[in-house]
Amino acid sequence: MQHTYLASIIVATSVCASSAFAVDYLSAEQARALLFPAAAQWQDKRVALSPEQLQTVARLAGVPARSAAWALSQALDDKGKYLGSVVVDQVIGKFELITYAVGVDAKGAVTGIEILSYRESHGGEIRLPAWRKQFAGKTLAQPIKVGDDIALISGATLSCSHVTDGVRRIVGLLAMLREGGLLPATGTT
Amino acid sequence: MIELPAVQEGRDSTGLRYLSASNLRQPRLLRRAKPLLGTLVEIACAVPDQVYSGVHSAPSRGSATLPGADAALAASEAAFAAIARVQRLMSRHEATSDLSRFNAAAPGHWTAVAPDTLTVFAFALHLSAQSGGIFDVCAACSQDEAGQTGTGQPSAGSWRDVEIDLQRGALRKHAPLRADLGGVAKGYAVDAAVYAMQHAGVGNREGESGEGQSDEGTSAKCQSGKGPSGWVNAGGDLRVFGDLEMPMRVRSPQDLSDTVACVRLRDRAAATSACYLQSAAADPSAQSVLRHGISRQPVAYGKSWTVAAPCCMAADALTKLVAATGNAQHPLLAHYAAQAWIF
Repeated sequence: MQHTYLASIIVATSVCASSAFAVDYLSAEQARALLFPAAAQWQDKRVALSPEQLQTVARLAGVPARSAAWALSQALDDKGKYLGSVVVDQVIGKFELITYAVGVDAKGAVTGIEILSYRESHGGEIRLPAWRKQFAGKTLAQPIKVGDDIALISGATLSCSHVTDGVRRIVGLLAMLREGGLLPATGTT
Repeated sequence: MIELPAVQEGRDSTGLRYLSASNLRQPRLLRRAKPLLGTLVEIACAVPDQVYSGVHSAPSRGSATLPGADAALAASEAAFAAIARVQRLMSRHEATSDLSRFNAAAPGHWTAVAPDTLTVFAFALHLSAQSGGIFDVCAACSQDEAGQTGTGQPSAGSWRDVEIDLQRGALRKHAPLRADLGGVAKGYAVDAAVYAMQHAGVGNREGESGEGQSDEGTSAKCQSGKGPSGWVNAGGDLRVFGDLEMPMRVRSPQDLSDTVACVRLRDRAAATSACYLQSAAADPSAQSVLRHGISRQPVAYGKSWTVAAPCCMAADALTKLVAATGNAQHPLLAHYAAQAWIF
């Protein structure tokens, strides 16, 4: 399953030297179920954007389109009506790598954003010994006992501007697909 | 239907993953995060199953049920909604927020605001009076001069020029000032999220139990006095609540790559304000955003001020007082049952 795959990546990166701190929250499956509670089935769809489509996305989003390849998880209700799409994306900030899921409904409105994982990735440039110590040797098979060996960290507010840009890009992507008739019909139009 | 994983340790009937405790009677902790308040807001919540056993109806999904898990999810939703509400009301960047409307209003004109906004202003003005103006939500804006914010006029005035009418729920100013609640509203948002988690779940369940549920359920809930527990961490402004104790570390202001052990928190909040050397190195022209309320001078780089207090709004605001005075033993700290550390 995809989330076990994702989990293994997180475990692998949390013990490697360049990535010091990792928290994973909901899995992609859990997040999409929250973003579209009425979804009865999901259809995975991959899209590869042409240079013209990339330009359209950039124009609609107001941020560079960045990637041509996208994977959509399309939510359908029990009658097969299209409810919207969930896109999982990663953004890299100055010090952090954030994986998040965004839900966009059939009309193009954001239904929610859910952070899936957060990693401080300093590329070896800066090390976080105290943070790494907390997680050294931990895997998902060894449950972390809360209140015993995980600390809350105060200070140095993390900026989420990269996530905001990423969400804008995905909303632009879905607007382009919708305008191009590339999304399933909602059954109401 | 979505294929849900089987119920096993660390998963509940809705397929949500938890950090599982070795003791099965200990509730599992749901951890979620969303981009809010310009940062990543993490919410953790656990609700003991027995609190809701008998109250909760049939499992929403799957064959087995761990009702506490559903309650934790509902509580986290309420908490995120509370934070979003505070953000909508008190953001400087949203033109329709209470704060923006107050800032845009002409002196002498009343601005009607939400009870949340009134609470934050009332607390801020009270702390300004107590500190003789060292803490001042009107000081932060004095430096963003015309042009920088595009608002035309520099802000002039202080907390003394703000009038609050609790009865009619309105604010007015007697000088062309602008306020910035950055030093206190984030802490309030954390408190609002914790309040939502402590109350929403229980209230909702009570409401549900009225609909075709027997009294048995309600009494089962009442037998166990234990409510939800968890924490909210909004980029360093945090609060731990319920039956949980968490160690807190503070990021070293000299070296962001390191953290310093600080205190263990149980039913307590903490906040840190800092002027990191690395931020200064990255942009030498940038000035510290922290200012002394009276002198309006930016405080020094390379230090960090942490305050622990019963509520996060007080912890957040008091970090500004400690930063401005450099006094970790400031008499007002005791008044708020707070402790301070300077790193």
